[in-house]
Amino acid sequence: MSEVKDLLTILFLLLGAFFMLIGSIGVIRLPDFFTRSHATSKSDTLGIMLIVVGLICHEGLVLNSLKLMIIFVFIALANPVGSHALARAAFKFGIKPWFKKEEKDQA
Amino acid sequence: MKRINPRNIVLHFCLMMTFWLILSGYYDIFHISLGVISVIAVLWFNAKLRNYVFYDEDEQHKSKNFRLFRLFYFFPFLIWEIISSSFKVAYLIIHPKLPIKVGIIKFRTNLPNMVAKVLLANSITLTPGTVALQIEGEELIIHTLTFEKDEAHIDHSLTEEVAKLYGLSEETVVSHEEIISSEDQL
Repeated sequence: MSEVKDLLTILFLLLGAFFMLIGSIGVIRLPDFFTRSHATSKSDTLGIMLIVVGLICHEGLVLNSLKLMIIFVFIALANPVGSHALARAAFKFGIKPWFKKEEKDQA
Repeated sequence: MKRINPRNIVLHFCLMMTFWLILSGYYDIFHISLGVISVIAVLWFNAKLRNYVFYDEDEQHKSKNFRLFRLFYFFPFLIWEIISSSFKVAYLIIHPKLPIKVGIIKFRTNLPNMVAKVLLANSITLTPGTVALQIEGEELIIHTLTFEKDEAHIDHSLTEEVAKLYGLSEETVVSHEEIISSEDQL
């Protein structure tokens, strides 16, 4: 039983770390602020959620898991709000979104 | 000034007390009484805040046909959307050619109140390649990472779910879609 638990924990933690890494690579690779905010809002949300799920698997059914569940819900609520607030601030400030060059030629 | 509803206060008290019990982990009389004192203190501090009305329109049309049980379907659906969107964005980022097609979508919603709009915008931010940029009155502006020409611009299954939560049909929620895909149109 404990092997299954450990396996699940390792699986979820690795997946979470993978998605966090993807988010970071996205921040470097993508061209402008708005596209970068996609990378942080999507991949990072799933990454943190998977890591929290992995920790819940590690803890089992104890009080600490409930605390981790609260963190899970808080991240699910706060992350989109945060990325929306940043994107909206940038949009209001007048940052022009980046568009692909070929499309500009077609237009 | 809004009249303070005693039911709300009891509900608020129970919620914060559960939160205290989960976080504290000590279940003797001393620690629980400390919790009761702090919860009452917080309720007292918040009494002024509860009188404040954030959005006037919410008072006017409180949506009575909000379907609570639909939420049990909506949340698993949303979690599934989050997972699938993360995979899509991850694919776009890893792909060596970076096949993104940036666009900005404007559309109008006709949702009954502010909470519904917040729900919609938040869900949009969490789903494939879209971030809500702005809500002005009824107009929503969305930044999207990939879009297909001559196809549905936004994920209609999502807006449909939000519409169903309020017992509305999808056409009334989303209208006047408009897409901007180059700097000249901005």
